[in-house]
Amino acid sequence: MNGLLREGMKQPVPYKKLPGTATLWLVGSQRLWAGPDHLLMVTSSGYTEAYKRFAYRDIQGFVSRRTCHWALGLGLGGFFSALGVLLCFTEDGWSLGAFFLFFALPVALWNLVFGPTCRTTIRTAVQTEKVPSLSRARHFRKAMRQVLPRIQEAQGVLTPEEYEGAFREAKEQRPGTPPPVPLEQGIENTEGAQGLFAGRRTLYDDMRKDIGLSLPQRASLDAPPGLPGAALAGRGQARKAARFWSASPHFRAFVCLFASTALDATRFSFTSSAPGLAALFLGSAAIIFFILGLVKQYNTDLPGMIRFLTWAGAAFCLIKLAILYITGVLSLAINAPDELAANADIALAMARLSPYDGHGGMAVLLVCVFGGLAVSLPGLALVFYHRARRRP
Amino acid sequence: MLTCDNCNTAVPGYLVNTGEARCPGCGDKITAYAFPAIARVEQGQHPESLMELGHAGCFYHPGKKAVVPCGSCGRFLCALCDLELDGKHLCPACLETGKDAGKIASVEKERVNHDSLVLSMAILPVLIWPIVVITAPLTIYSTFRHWKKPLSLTRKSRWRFIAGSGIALLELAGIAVIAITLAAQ
Repeated sequence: MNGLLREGMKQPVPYKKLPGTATLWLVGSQRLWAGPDHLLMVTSSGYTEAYKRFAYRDIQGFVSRRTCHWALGLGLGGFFSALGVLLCFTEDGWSLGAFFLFFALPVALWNLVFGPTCRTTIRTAVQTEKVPSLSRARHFRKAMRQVLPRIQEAQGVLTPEEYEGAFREAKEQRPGTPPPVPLEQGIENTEGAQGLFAGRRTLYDDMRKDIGLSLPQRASLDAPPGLPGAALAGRGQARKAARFWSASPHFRAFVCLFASTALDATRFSFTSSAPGLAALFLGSAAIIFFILGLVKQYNTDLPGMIRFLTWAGAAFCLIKLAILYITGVLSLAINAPDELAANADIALAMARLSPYDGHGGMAVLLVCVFGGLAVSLPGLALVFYHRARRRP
Repeated sequence: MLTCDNCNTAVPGYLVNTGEARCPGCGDKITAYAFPAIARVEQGQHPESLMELGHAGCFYHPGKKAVVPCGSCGRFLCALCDLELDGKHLCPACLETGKDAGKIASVEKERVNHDSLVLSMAILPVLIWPIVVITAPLTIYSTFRHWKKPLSLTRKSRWRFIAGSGIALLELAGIAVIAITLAAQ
């Protein structure tokens, strides 16, 4: 025993670092290392390290899904950088422009350099683990180039027939699984109403026919209502199938945010209490709907982009409300300190704020209007798209 | 079965090991790789019963036939008790002992990076200089105390220990110079 223990101490296992590092809570990090017979996931908190091992012979697969964080980071970073550059050329706005550039330009450049983002999961017979370090598509590709030969050396290569066999076996192990849906019906169920994905689906069908595979099982789409979506849940799959959802709270939240933004935009033309108060009311309603949406979207088939925009919208509304409250309080403190005690007066002051009072007010209104449009318009479009595509 | 992590839709066979494609459920772009382990059915070990005289029995299951001795304590083990680790055969008790002691690298779940702690302790006085009186001796003590302890699984070099103790020695030298100067005045 002692010999074995001493051996363990003196001979460090040779690991090779795989691309990608995830930063956790500013000080921690998570990395993936390729060992001789296993992958090692190291989660470091600075002074301690936690290890998870995935033996090459036990790894069932990797799934990487593209996320929209890259596009949003690049878009917002680019927008605010451009705004900063424009402000830098104005007479008094250079300080605000420099502020925007300082925060937005690194975000835009970072996303431009590192490319599209993704979410990667690794699956074994007993667990499905997220791999935060492989959160960029290029890191995932590079890591796979190093890992795939090792896994294939340990396990061999999986043929499509074997995969389909495992698929059918997993289905048979779960009683109550709905019968396979005929191809035409499947298409009608999903894209038949609008035909948005007809071309893409045809391409898949052609590929499927080429390699002689049966219809893919999609529990969230093909399972009748009330039945558990067992077709997709294989061995060790504890999570329930995603359910179809029309995303009503999301729709209402984006509508409220858009209306609030439109009312905010009227301040460029005239300053009045009524539209300001209405915008405030709609902004508050949007926050409530966003929170409802965030609570209810769990375990649904909602696309990742809508989920992300919901989080972004909720954060945007809260920050906007906080900024407007602070500017309202400041405005009252400067102009009418006696009225500061009443909350109604603060709300009125917020509603009466004119963008032409100063550069600060103009910048706040610009951010409110463009930010609101940047969140609400794509959100509305995506919810419409989601409903049209998935309507049974 | 591989599933999309967004909508939990099963990834169909024609999307596996073929590069990036759209998920049939949510439409997000996914890349899926599957390996033969997904089609493998794990079978547990079934130890043979001890039928003949002269055959050794398992230490933990006397009625079962021993197939291998423990590489650490030498006890005879049946197929059920045999735990293979890095090519060595161990009994459950030895594995547990080694795991608890944290000295079998293959089953270790956590380690403390003493070298990083030492280096941080040596650098900390840059922010709060008066604590150098405490941290410098503590750094040198920690270096000696933890020098032989295993490093992170992914590190081989002990340069942090050396750098930390070097900085601490410089700090101690600085303290000594200041003390002597003050005493001379």
